Amino acid sequence: MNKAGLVFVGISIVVALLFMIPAFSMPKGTVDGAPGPGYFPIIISAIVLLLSVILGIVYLREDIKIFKRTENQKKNTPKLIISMIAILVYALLFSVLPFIPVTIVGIGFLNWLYGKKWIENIIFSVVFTLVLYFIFSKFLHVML
Amino acid sequence: MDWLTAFAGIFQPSVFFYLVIGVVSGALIGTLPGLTATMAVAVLTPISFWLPPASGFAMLIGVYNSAIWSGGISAILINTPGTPASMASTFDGYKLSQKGYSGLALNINTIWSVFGGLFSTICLALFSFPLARFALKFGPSEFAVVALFGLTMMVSVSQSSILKGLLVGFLGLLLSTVGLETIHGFKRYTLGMVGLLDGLNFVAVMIGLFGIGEVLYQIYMDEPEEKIEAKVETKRQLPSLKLLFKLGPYNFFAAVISVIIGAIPGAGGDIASIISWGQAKRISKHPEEYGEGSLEGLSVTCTANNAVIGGAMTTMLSLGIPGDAVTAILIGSLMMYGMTPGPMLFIENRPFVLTLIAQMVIANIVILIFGLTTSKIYPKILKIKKNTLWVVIFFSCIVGTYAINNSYTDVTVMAIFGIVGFFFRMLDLSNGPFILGLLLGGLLEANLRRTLAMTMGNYSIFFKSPISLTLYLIIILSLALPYVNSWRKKRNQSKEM
Repeated sequence: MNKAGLVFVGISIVVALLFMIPAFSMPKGTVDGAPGPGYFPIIISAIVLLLSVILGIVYLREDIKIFKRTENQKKNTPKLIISMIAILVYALLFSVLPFIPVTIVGIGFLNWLYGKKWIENIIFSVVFTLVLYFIFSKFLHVML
Repeated sequence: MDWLTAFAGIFQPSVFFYLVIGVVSGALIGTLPGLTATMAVAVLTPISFWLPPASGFAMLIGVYNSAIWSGGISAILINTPGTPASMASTFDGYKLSQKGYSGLALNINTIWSVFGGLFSTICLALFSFPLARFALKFGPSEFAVVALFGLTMMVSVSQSSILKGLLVGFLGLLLSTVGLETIHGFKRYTLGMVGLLDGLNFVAVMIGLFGIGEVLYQIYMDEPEEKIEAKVETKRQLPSLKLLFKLGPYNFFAAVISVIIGAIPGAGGDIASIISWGQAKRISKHPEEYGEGSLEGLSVTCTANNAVIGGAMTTMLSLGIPGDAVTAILIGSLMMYGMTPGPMLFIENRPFVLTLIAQMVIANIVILIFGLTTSKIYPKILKIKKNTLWVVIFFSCIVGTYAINNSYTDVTVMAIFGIVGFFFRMLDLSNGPFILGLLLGGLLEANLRRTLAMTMGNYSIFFKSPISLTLYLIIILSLALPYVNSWRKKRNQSKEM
């Protein structure tokens, strides 16, 4: 059994249902035969459901462990998870806090996580933030 | 006259400057293993939106051509392809380096990549206009079948499993339904968010999948860095004209094959260069040298990589179907500029199409000059640490995605798809079918429903026009081809046994 694959199949089924159920309550097609807005999502989500079931059966028969990790990958997992969280947190903070300080802290944090020496880290964080700020805000006139 | 104006337009300082910036950025990103041409174009796309179309596209065309060319540099110097398209360049390129001909190999890479790029640009100029004229005869039903044809390529781009590729592709199709639908303007799956009314921002999704997703995967797979031993011989090793003429016929052959492969949606530079290498070996007078440091072998792979670009651009511009992942992003970029790729582009924005083709020519000439004069600096570029690049890519992706529309929704979409991209890599699911589904979903749905509205719900129109029937035949052939090939391979193997 391929557990990771089955999780993906499960997610696909949930996504298909999330698209299919509301599609049934969308306006119906017109009398001249033109299909309504729910027509396409219903067909596609039905196909996704069908393919998910078939792939699910394939995964049930498989004997593969996709997430079998090497020593290095085990060591890298915390770094990966923290990176994912850091990106999401930065993406959220980016909208509420001023760009320069939040970006310096963000870059500095990830550099620290990836083991950069602290002097190098500070210089890189400040310089790269200013480069980004200059390119996007001053040169391309993006509101940061 | 139109062409003269197009070429003259490139030499405006603002356009030429961005083209050179594109070539230099592409060279840097393409040289570094793990950073693909798709990632290079995805990361620079948001910057291009803030420039006039000619300047923005000059940068993207420069990056695209240059990243594919420079992917061969690390293949030659450290036996690791900079981009997947350069995989076949390792076969002979690294052997040449080991024999002390790294300088010669790098120059061969530059010269024949440029040849491939220019040859395919000529094909683009010759064939895209007639193809677009032909496509003008298409009505909604034919366009629905064209979209279907593009979607059948989900099968060919499903690297490991057709079933997985199909499922991912249909998930992409499903997500293409988010936003205001085109016929009645009905809101679908927007979760009450204004930022989703136009649907999922295609470029944000691409940046997430190919930028953030790829870096997360590299973080997870990271191994302690090995010291890179790469050096370029000090003496200049320019190939002689006699050698170039000797290699000419093989490279012409490779260029023709690769342009055709490039025009087929889903088939990219990696496939073209391996096929070209194999075919050149078959017709070579010295097949025993292939894989042992053959200049012929290296040159055809370099030609093939860049010759794919013109083919992919032909399909993208004239039919609106992406030839590969990079052209998929370019479609998104064109749409952001208010231009829809397809036959109408050649009527409504003809000067822009000519400018784009002219940019391809000039980009290749810039690559030739840049490549031949900078071969000594690449070992230094290869020493840039991975973790520095990760941080640069993360933050460029986030700020760049925000810059597309000043939208935090886009940033959230990009971050989510970055994580999705990582899990796709882990589960061995290809991004290609997903992108095709997301991109072609709108085209398929709009034309399908428009046709049904015109025919009062009668489906038979999809099987009446000769164009549609021809397209169905091509669809059947393209779906059957992988199975026929695998059957032939099995039959040959059993004969040998």
